[in-house]
Formats: sequence, structure tokens, C-alpha cells
Amino acid sequence: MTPRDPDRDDDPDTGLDAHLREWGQRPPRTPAATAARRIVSRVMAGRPAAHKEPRRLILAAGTVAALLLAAWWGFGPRGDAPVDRGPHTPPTMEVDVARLASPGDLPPPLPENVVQFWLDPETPVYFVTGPAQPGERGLP
Amino acid sequence: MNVREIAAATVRAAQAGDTAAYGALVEDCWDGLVRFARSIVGDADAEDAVQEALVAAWRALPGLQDVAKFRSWVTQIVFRRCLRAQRWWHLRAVLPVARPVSFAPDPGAALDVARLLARLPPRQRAVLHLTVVEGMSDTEVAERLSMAASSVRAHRRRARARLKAIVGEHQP
Repeated sequence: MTPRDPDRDDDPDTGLDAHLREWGQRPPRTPAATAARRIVSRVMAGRPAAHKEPRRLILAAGTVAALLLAAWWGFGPRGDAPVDRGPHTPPTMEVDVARLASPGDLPPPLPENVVQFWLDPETPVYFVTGPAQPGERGLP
Repeated sequence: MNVREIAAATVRAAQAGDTAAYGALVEDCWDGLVRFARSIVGDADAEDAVQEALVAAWRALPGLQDVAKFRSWVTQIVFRRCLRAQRWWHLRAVLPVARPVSFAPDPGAALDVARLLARLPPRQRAVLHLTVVEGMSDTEVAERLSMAASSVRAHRRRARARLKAIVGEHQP
């Protein structure tokens, strides 16, 4: 009795295996050289394998740039929102109303924190905006 | 330079984008891969499955770390593609566009191996093919199919038992 190799088929079926071998060993319909030419022409029509990694890098870099741009656009300062210039430059509440209302002259340019209404051609009304003071004048 | 070193150099050249080197690799492994795929998906679809797998393998080739394992690696890709094709055909089988059995009958043969194999699960067919037709050891089969050697033995035992039962059913 010959010792069995534990890494080999331990229960071969000689009758069935012969049929399996005969069926399984038939050559492919397409010769290997023809198949190789066909596959190479297909891969050459696409990108070469060596270009795959740079393409991925470009795609990743583009995605990161798009995300940063989207984050900046969503959370960054906007043109219509007041820009915080720091605590040392608060908008002043002191406006020379007499100088603003000068009938007959061209209206002088208004400061950024002044809104002007005309009740009639002689009566301008000015609203001067400033930083909100909690608890003052009904503000929360 | 021995044969192994030449093969490794060819794989490295293909990894660097040399299509001629890849053509040489394809030519070298085509027959074996088609025989293997045929045992899983049948005659009609084996060559298409291998061709698709080899195109996919070219795209994944730069990621192959151990060039000496090219053949095992590409066999795994073919195997996965065949399993996927099988799943898709099983799904189509329950839909109105049922696909005919891909294993062509072989009226001339004393034993219709194709129809016999079609009654086994794909993994059992793969194990049986690599063991019986290619003469591989359990370790080699395990490496090609990404499974443990003990699983290879279990699949083969079940495959043989099933085949014996099927043949027994048809004998008077």
C-alpha cells in the first residue's frame, strides 16, 4: 500500500475522472495568439495601465478642491452679509443730520450705516443703524 | 535568466504599460483559463468571460504586488467573473427572458460531462476541474480560488458524491 499525499486528491474516481479530463482538456475555439491580439487591441483602445494611478490622483485632487470651494462658498463671508471688521471699528451712531439734509443741493453720499427716506420733497428721514445692544430699546 | 525570472520581467513590463508584454502573458495563459472557465460557465460563454476578465486584469495589473503570482491572480479574476456571470444567469432564469442552459449537449459522448457538471455548484466545478483536469495539489487549488485547502477537499468530496449520485440515478 502506497502512502497518500495529504495535499492531493484522496478519493479519485478513475472512471469519471477520465471523462472529465477528456472533456476538460479540449482546446479553446479561439487560438491563444488570436485572443492575445484581440485583448491587446482592446486594452490599447482604453488607457494604458500605467496611466491609471495619475488619473486617480487627478480625480482625488479635483474632488478635494471642489469640496474646499464648496465649503468656502457655503460658510465663508458673503457679499451681502456685513463684514466683521473687528471690535476697534464699530459703526458710529454720530451722524451730522443737518449736513445730510441740504435742500436744493445734490444729496451728499450717505454713510454705510444710514438709511434715508423722503416723507415729502422737504422732509428726509434718516435711520442710523448700529450694533445691537441687548436689553436696550426693546431688543432682546 | 531562468523561466521564472523571464515571466516576472514580462509581468513587470506589462505593469509599466507594455502592451506587447501583456499580449505575451495572455497568449501564455489563454488556453488554461478558457478550460477553467468552461468548467464553470460552459462552452458558449467561457471565452467571453476570460476575455472580459483579461481586460479587467490589465486595468488592475499595476496593483499586483507579487509578480510571481500573476497566474493565480488572473485565475482568481476569471473565477470571480464566472461566478458573477452565473449569478446573473440564475437571476435571468427566473425572469421571462430565460437563458438556455449554456452547457451544450454532447450526444457523441458516452457520458455527457457538460450536463453532469452543470448540476454542480460553480465552486465544486472549479475545484474538480483544477484537481482532475489540471492535476493541481490542494494547496495550489486553494491559492487559485482564494480558499482554504480544507475547503478545497470539502468541495471535491461533495462534488464527487453528487456526481456519483447523479450517475447512479441514470443507471438501470
